[in-house]
Amino acid sequence: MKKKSIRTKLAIDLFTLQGKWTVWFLKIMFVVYIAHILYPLIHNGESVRAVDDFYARSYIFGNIYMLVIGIITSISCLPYYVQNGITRRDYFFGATIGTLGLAIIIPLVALIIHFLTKGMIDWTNLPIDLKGLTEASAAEEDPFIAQMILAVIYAPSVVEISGLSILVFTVNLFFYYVIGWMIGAGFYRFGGIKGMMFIVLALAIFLINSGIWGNPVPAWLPIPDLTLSFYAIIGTVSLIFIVLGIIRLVTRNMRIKL
Amino acid sequence: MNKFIEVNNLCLSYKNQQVIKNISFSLEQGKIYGLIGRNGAGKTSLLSLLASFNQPTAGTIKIDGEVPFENARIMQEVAFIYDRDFKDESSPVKEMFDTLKRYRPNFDEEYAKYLLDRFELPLKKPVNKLSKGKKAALNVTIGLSSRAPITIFDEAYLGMDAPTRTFFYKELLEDQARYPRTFILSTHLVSEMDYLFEEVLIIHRGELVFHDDFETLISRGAAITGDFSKVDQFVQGKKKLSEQTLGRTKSVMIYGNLTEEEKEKARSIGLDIGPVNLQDLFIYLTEEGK
Repeated sequence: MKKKSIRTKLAIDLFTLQGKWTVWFLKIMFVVYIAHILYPLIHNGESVRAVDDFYARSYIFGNIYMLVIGIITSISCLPYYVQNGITRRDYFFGATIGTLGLAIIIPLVALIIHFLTKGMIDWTNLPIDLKGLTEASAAEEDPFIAQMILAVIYAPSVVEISGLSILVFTVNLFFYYVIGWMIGAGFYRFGGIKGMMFIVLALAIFLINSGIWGNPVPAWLPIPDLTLSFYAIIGTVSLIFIVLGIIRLVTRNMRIKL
Repeated sequence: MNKFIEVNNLCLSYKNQQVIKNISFSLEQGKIYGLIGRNGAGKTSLLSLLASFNQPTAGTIKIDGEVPFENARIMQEVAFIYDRDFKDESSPVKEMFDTLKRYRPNFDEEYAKYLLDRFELPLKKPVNKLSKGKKAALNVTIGLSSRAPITIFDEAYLGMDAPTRTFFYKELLEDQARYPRTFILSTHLVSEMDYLFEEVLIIHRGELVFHDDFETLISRGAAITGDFSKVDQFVQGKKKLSEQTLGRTKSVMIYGNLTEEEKEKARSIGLDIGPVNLQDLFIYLTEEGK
């Protein structure tokens, strides 16, 4: 019973802490978004222009954001909580649940902001054509690095607003977070070259995930193309479990540095 | 004797370097222990094992009958306060206490407020913007107000000035009288803290070289004071720890127990026998080459 309550507290704490960061993240993104819409209008006069919608934009930047906070929390929060008498095991479960909560909330908030901005644009009759993300147009013959970058920042290419896409959004945010967590934990524990190996591992997992979602991957990678979103979600969820398993292995006996 | 903390054949190695070498001891509940050792003796390594920050390479630790590592019940009862710079801690002072409130079962908010007030710590200031002295004060406030059954202070008072340290020592003793717990105080400021210790553990190069109560330790030596020629004559052949001369008066610290006869003889020639101080014993027991 007691253990349960510590994990619940941790989940709430991690949700709140990261939630505060996320509010800042969304605020900044919103300001940049509005500037992106208005600046060319003021400067170049009115001609109809296509702009990706806020939901789609949150989708891409949200992933990178989650990767970053995954790294930050794994380096700073675990030692902080162990210093406060929390076990590594409780932190692991608490952080997992708390972050899952965050990954569920972000798409919903992004959706609300999207509808608000869309409403505003329609209401003020601005010459803006809001679009979801178009398919990644990387050609098969793209060089390896380009494909890699594409794989990292642009995993799934289905971004139309639907119940399924909200689920995909959540799963991906959480996926990027656990990857960041894994990199941070690997670096914290092993440092140097061994820590670097976790980045290599992360890139490999990104590539596999990207392949699962039907993005072009180097031909030598035998990844099944599960373009059907539902199966692809299962693929990403499986990867999340594998990464969580790695994180637990890395952190279960981890020395807290003084 | 209740063995609250039991350490058996404890070893810790980093790569090829052995930092803790086969240490065994047991500590009772409700006492104040002094852990002393020179820089690099292994004090912090030993304490970080007790606090479950790390796992031993070999040997066992038991706290209240259980292995503490990853043990939720035990870990929340051990507070390990060490000299840290909080350089990445940008949240305000108040937030640290919100965490204690949630996770330290014995945390006393009123007492924390009292200490914060006495140390003049601003609640809203980011922790990493505090001065070195204030950071140390924050650290000991965390340690005292957590009221954890095992509270470890590892040189946490280094940044504080002398009056603040004195206040801390006084506060520690008073709070110990109100809420007895097991304190382990690690330090090399031996001379100013020795009156706090009920028992002393001395570690040297990863080994425990001494563990006994304070009285027993200081009875291992004596301070002989009196006319310098008589003192010199009396201490001849004895192991000298240190000596001081003021005019014709000389005081020599010696190591080793004096027999009743020797004590009688000293008194008869007008010499004064007093206790040796811990600092001198510590220096002697951990000399280079030992």
